[in-house]
Amino acid sequence: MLRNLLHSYLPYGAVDLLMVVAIITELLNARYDLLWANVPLLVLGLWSFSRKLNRMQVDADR
Amino acid sequence: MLIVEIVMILMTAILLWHAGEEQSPSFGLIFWVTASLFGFLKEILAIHFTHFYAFSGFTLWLFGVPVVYLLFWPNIIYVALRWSENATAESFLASTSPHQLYPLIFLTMAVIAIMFEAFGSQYQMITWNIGSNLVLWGKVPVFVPFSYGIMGILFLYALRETWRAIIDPLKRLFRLMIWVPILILTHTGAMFVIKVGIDIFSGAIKLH
Repeated sequence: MLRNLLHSYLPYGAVDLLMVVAIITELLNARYDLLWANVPLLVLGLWSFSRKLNRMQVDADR
Repeated sequence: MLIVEIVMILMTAILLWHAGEEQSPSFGLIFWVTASLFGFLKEILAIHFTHFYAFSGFTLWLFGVPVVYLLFWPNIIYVALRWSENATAESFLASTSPHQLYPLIFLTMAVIAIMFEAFGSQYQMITWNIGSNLVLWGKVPVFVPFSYGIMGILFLYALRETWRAIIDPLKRLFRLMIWVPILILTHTGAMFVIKVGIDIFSGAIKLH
């Protein structure tokens, strides 16, 4: 189960790497206006990953 | 931007491994080779011929284009594919009607564009030469997310067509390589139409 979870997270984790760099640089450069540009990606990623997790849970309960 | 180049290499390693586990190693290899070729040739066209934008601040360059763009396009198109499949529980390659996946692929590519271009705007990584009345964060023209979205849809359409028509991995690779110039021309044409559409919508072009 944990291995499946980690495996499913990889396409999200790869993007998180880039987004974390983006957010840190935006904070360091005090470009707080640019932080909003990360929100759509964050929301879409959370939605997609939660749907995947729900399905994994349903499969595990069977 | 050495950090971007390092992160992109890390992303490639993670995603290639994921593609190998999820599908097959040959799928990963064909996907990355052909999407790299598509993305990189598109960048060469944009830098040397259409002059839509210019790059600066990268460490490694090839034919006037940052080498990192060999990895950038396959990485984000693969992410768009997997995020969309996970959201819909549909397999893009196996499904007989993957039409509900295309809008999600477009959306994922578009939101990645919004994040990445805003990040890059801090360091003038990408300078857009196309003026626009409508801009996003970091003064990125609004047609840029459309460009990313259409890139993803075009490549994945060609991938799916090839995957379902041919079994042999080597033949799949060659067939997809033949698709590349067609995809680049289609993308450039689509961008022109979308740019004109946005300019009409924003009032930059007035129809009398």
